[in-house]
Amino acid sequence: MVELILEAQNISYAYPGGIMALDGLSLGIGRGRKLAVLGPNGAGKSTLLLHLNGTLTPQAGRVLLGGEAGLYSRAGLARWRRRVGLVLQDPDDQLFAATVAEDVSFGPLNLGLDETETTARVAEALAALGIADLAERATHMLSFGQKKRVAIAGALAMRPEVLLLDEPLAGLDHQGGKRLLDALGRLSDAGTTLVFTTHDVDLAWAFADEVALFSGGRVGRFGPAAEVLADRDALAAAGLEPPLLLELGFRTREEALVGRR
Amino acid sequence: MTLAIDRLAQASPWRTRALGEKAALALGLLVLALVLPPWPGAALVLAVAWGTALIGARIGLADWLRLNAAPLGFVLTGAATLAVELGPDGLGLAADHGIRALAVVLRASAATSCLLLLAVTTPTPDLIQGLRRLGLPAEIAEVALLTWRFLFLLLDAAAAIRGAQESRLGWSNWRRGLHSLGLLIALLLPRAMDSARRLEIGLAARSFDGTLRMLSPARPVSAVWLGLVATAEAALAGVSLWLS
Repeated sequence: MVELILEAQNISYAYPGGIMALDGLSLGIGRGRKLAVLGPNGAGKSTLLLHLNGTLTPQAGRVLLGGEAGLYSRAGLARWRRRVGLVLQDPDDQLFAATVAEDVSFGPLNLGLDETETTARVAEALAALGIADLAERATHMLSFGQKKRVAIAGALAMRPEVLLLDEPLAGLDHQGGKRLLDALGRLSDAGTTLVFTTHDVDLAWAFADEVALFSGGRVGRFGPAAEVLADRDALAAAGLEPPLLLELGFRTREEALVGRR
Repeated sequence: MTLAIDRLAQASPWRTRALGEKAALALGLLVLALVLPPWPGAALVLAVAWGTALIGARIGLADWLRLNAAPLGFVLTGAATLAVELGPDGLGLAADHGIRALAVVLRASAATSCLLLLAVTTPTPDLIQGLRRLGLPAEIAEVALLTWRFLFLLLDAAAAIRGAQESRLGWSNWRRGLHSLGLLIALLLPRAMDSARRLEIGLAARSFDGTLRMLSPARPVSAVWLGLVATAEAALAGVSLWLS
């Protein structure tokens, strides 16, 4: 039995104007797993992430962190954010300091760590993302891919148990995406639980252990990536198609069956 | 110009020097430019500031001239009014043959060069941090820092919007350009608000509690450097007073 580190139980959330982003959604996130929250744009995936780190409070239902609910007090939220890091889709929404090292030091200092420990955390986070050479660079002079890795390093330096990533590969080219996935793979190997939103079925298939398929404001299908992504009906209901390689496999098999008849 | 200064400051070989060292040099020269007689005092300061920027801080001559052009333009325009007088025979050279105008040009351009020397070797956030250490309230320093950071985001957004408008002929003539500019400004405000809201979420996710704490690299001030600067500035003052 996998230990659940984060759990959403029947959560609902409507934005002002009545747009229902989450509609009785339930989801359990196992410790140490890589979970892809898969769905088309505008499905409410980012809204779910904002619930999973306590930024938004569900209008119905509840979110449990390590089995504990109702952590919305000041102290509770501080504890929550210590354990669950969030990386937004656009790194410019997260980087505010003048240099990379200063920006990454922000989280550890907020945890109350002293300068020595913070310096060590900054170096460790930059090394994990392969950007130690950028430490003294100005944040506004970085490329988009570099900014993205700095934003992740900023969350990572707080050593969260869970890292929530909103569309981590959005805006990155193939090389940039590959470098980022390698870095995330190393984090996962070190025990960090990763939850990322995406509309890219190929990415979910290549990287995730499990997939939560979003449809109509709730998780329509949840399970091991290979199983969920092979379920063409469930994918179609969410407005998605199977990964290219799986689709190729389906077609080859179908053609072989037709040929045999 | 702001962006050019930022670009030069970020790339400056003196960027990692302690702020105290650069401030001692530039502000010391600034004080000399203001208190010494314009000739030869301010002229010497002007020469030293230019030499330090071009040779010491390795700023390109073209960049340095471009940065000096705007303030020098103001100085020359102002000095021109001192150099001429309206007499009974019409417009003519001032009674002092333009000595006062020359003094203003020397003093003002020397002072401007000293400030530019500090600006092109020190990124704005370092200056803000320095002011913070001198007692600027944390709240004001944080607002200044965030404003500086937002400036670049807004400029990026404005450039992207302008590019999109140009590609659809939004700037093809003066009238359309003006209309597009209005739309651009109207778009930037909600974008800035959205951006600020998302930044708030990003900061909250990293346990922001109302204070922007950051680890700034410690850059000890070199006593040797300070000694050299003080000696050089004292020598400059001495030479200037002796010559005058």
